[in-house]
Amino acid sequence: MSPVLRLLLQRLAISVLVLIGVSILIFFIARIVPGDPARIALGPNASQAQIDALREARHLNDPIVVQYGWFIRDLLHGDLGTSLYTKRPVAQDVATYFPATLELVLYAGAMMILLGLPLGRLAARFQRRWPDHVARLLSVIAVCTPAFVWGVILQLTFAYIWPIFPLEGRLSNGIDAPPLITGFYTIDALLNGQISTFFNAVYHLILPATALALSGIGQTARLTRSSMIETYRRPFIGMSRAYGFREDRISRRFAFWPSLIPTLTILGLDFATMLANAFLVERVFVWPGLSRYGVEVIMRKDLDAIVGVVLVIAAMFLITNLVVDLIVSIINPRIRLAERKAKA
Amino acid sequence: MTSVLKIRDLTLGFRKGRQTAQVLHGISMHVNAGEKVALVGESGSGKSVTAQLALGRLQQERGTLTSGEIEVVGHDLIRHPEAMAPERGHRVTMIFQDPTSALNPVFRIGEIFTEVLRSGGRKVTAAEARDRALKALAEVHIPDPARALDSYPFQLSGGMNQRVMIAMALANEPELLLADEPGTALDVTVQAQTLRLMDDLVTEKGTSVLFISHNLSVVREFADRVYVIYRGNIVEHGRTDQLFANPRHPYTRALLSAAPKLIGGGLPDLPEHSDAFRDPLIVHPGCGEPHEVSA
Ligand SMILES: Nc1ncnc2c1ncn2[C@@H]1O[C@H](COP(=O)(O)OP(=O)(O)O)[C@@H](O)[C@H]1O
Ligand SMILES: [Mg+2]
Repeated sequence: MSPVLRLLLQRLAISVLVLIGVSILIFFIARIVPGDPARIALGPNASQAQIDALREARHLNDPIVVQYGWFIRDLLHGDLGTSLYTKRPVAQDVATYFPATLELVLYAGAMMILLGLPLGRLAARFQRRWPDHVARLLSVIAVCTPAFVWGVILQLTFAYIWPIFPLEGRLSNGIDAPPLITGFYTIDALLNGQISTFFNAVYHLILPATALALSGIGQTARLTRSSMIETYRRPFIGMSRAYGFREDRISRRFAFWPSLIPTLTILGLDFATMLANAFLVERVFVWPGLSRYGVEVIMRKDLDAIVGVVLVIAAMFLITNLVVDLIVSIINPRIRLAERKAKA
Repeated sequence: MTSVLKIRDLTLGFRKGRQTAQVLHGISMHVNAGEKVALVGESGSGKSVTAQLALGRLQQERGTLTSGEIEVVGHDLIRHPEAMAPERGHRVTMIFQDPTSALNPVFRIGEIFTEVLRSGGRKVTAAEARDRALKALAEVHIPDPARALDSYPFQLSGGMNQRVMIAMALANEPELLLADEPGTALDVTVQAQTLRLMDDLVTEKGTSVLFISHNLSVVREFADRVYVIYRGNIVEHGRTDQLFANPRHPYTRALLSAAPKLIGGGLPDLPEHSDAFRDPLIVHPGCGEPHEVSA
């Protein structure tokens, strides 16, 4: 078995264990919090008989451990339970709202990588000269301001005072959502050849994705800068210079890739953190993502839905980690070739 | 006789805030074409900075102050250090203490080698680069050059990496090779083997070498001439036979009398420094600097 595959399987096994742990934790926490979900779901006018019936139907009178047993049994059948709030299966709700969040987060993640890495790389290359000072100032400002504050600032500036971008939503009024394939409007529009819908979706994504990405961009730039400055001190960079490698090539290749290995894991965490930040940014831009659903079900103590939402987010964290591990093992030949070396 | 390296009254200081730490106090030395010249001195005496100045790198950094003259393969590196940019890796190359850390860990030997062959903007096709690299690796007696090119530095032994480094250093047929304590990070036998290999190749190709070393017995075996440096001053200069048979400067004598007690001939840490170490430069007969002879 290739070392990369083995590493991946190992991480996958750990991920499953972590998910089980998270499910137990959130399952019990959600149930210990005071309040009767059945009473909240049925409203103030419901009779005690109705409430009792609902509690019985949802096994809420069973001991908590038995309830967890029911939950696992359903889970193994791919059933995350039913929301008391929307009355629909939780899995279906999540499938409805989550793609919007994921699309936003992925675009923000792409911005974080595409802008943060070059900014950090340039700062390191021109260390203590003006590009460095500018990059560092921008990074600090970006990092220190929470994403939802960026959301408000961007919305005020570029959608209200100077209205070049839309205030809110995923598409303009009058434009229909593209047929559901992935749930990402940009991709679904392209798959359907609806170019104007695609641009409209991108147009709506720019402000919220930027708001969400800014602190990640700053964080990425700072990390990349410090890691590259460290790399620049290593003997192999001295060798590159002694042998006349162009400074630009060193910056893009010979110092960049070794510096990326130690930073990627942290970048992965930063990326995953955007999922949490997305909740507030979505509120600002009235983005129909998981956040509104998540907040609503928490307020209503909608047990199955809470567990479902938390599990999806935990799974996203784990998948991100897995992807990062995979990328690191591809970039870092020491991991990729670990086994071959042992055999040689 | 033409000199590939000519240094005259070279001083170097590092500015830190308002103060300047003077590191070289007006040294003069030269390396003629085809000659192997050693620069010997304790750590911190200014050997590596001399090599970095000869590459034209240090004087381009901020906070370095230089005066005097330094001429390498015909370029005036005090006034035009940037003239060295296309020469590095070609007319002047370098070998390092620890070959394994001098080779980039995330690139294959072949990729690094190609970059070496292309440095200074030279156009070399991928096929041509591989071909030349294979030949160069065969020359340093690497058993399976193709496999070495496809390996990462950490997959090869230190000795193999040093051979790779020597191959890279000589692949572009340089006029001057700067060897800064080459292979001191390797174990003694491997170090001796690779040095002998380097010696054979530079002798065969007629490459000039500035050989910076800690190791007196290696210097004795390898160098034609020796400069002894003490705290940024050259204190003694002579042919290798002259210097070892008749060391005249108190510092050189102290070094030589302490050395035999050490296995491998590494430079001893002198327990005490006498004022006599600051005595003026002693030049052995027939060894002056070129400008002094012609003047
Ligand atoms: N970039 C630098 N900035 C300040 N001081 C330096 C720098 N490089 C070298 N030095 C100082 O110059 C002196 C000579 O260093 P070096 O040439 O590396 O010694 P060595 O003879 O061991 O090779 C040392 O005292 C060192 O601390
Ligand atoms: Mg040194």
